[in-house]
Amino acid sequence: MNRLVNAFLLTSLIAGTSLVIFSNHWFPIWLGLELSTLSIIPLLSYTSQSRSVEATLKYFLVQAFSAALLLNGAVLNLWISNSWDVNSITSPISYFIITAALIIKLGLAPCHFWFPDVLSGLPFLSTIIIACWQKIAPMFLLLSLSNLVSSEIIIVCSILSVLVGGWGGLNQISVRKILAYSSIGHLGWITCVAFFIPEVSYLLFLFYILNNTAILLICHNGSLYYLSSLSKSNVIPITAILFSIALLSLGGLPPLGGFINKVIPLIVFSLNGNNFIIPFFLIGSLISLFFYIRIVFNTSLTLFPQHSLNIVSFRTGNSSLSQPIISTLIPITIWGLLLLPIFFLFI
Amino acid sequence: MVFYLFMLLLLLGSTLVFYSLSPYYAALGLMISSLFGCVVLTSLGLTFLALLLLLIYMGGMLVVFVYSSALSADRYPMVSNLGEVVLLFLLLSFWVLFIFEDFLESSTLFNLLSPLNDLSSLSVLYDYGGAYLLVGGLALLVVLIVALVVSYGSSLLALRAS
Repeated sequence: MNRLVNAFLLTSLIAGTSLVIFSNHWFPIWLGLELSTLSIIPLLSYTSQSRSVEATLKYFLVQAFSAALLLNGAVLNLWISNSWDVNSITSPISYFIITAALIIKLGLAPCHFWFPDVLSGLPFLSTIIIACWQKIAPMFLLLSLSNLVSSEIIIVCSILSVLVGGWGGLNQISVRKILAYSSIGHLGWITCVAFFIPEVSYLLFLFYILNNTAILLICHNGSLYYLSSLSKSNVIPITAILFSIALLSLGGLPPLGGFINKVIPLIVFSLNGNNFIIPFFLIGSLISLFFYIRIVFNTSLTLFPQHSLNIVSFRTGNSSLSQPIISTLIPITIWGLLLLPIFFLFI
Repeated sequence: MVFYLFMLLLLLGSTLVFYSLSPYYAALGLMISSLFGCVVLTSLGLTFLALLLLLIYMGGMLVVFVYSSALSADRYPMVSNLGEVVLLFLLLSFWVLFIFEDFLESSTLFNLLSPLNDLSSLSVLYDYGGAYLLVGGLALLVVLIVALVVSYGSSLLALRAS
């Protein structure tokens, strides 16, 4: 695509998300959400392959419907409370409609069905935009609404998300679908804390985005689209090791950084006396740990029968523009647990 | 009472939009619903918004819709299922009337004595809300560029229907 058009669309994507974050009137929030949806449509479908176009269409329909639902809830709130202000959600019905719209936009269960379909039709760079950047705006709205009204719908949707994220990713062979279900599960962990302390959710969301971006960039570098190509990938050897560490961190194993995403919600739940929901989260994340380990196993823990010339390879893999970004993001997964004391500022 | 008749005709228009077999009757339904939407707005005193709605719907959106359906619809369209549409509309309206029966007893005042009720709040859009208009205009520019990029197609010559 033309470079100027590309730059214009990326700028309007960033402008749309910024418009959502920086305003407290519902109209520019809706405008920013629609602007970010519209401006990535050409970015997702610039290769005219039918899979990308179908994924783009599905994405656009889901996001446009939920943005209309959001505007509907905002206008209903205007009718009841005479205010366009974001901080004046007074009636439960308008809160419910707006939250339902945000749940569809984020891809939380029970509205998660579009997410693996859309992600599995797109190349990896587009996947990064959909799975990481586009979640910033609706997550921000959800967390700022949780500051005002605490509703149990968030807990129900997050428990369903964690269980769906675990069971949905079990029988998949496409790496993009596995990462989609893992994303659904992680968003479940993040949004459940929003019921108790919404400020902590921002921290967990930041960790999730950094971790997910690193993994998706590594997958883009090595073109790891299916499980069968994991053992034949040509990446720089250090990237192969860091890929395994990043995936285990995403699964939440203790000395790695991703453990923060699991231990902080558990502390928050037990401090609030809400021990009943903990087993659901543990079961969901245990099942998702299984398919993370399956990817790690196929990447670096097994040597498949191959020609001996492949084992001693002179090429060191393609290191592209994304290599420095990967190298900057990976240390969070290794040393991230040292950032745990930040959480104790919020209690 | 007449007010609710106008809103019922609005419902008839939208039923025609989603239930008809051929897109030409859907365009007719859009026309009916925009017309009666204007009538409803005018009877509440909001004449400027009614004219704006009519202009944008009929003059802009409907023209584009009719052209694109003429390019892409079937060559021999099926004759409409107008009887089923009217039946569905009657069922919907009777269902709503049975639920909101006591709502019909109250009377809505027609503000025809003081029209232009909407201009006092519309002026705020141009005054304090000028930034919203600017951002809205920029968003429409993005929409134009997106529509052009998406429909560029495989032929690099011109904007074609294929």
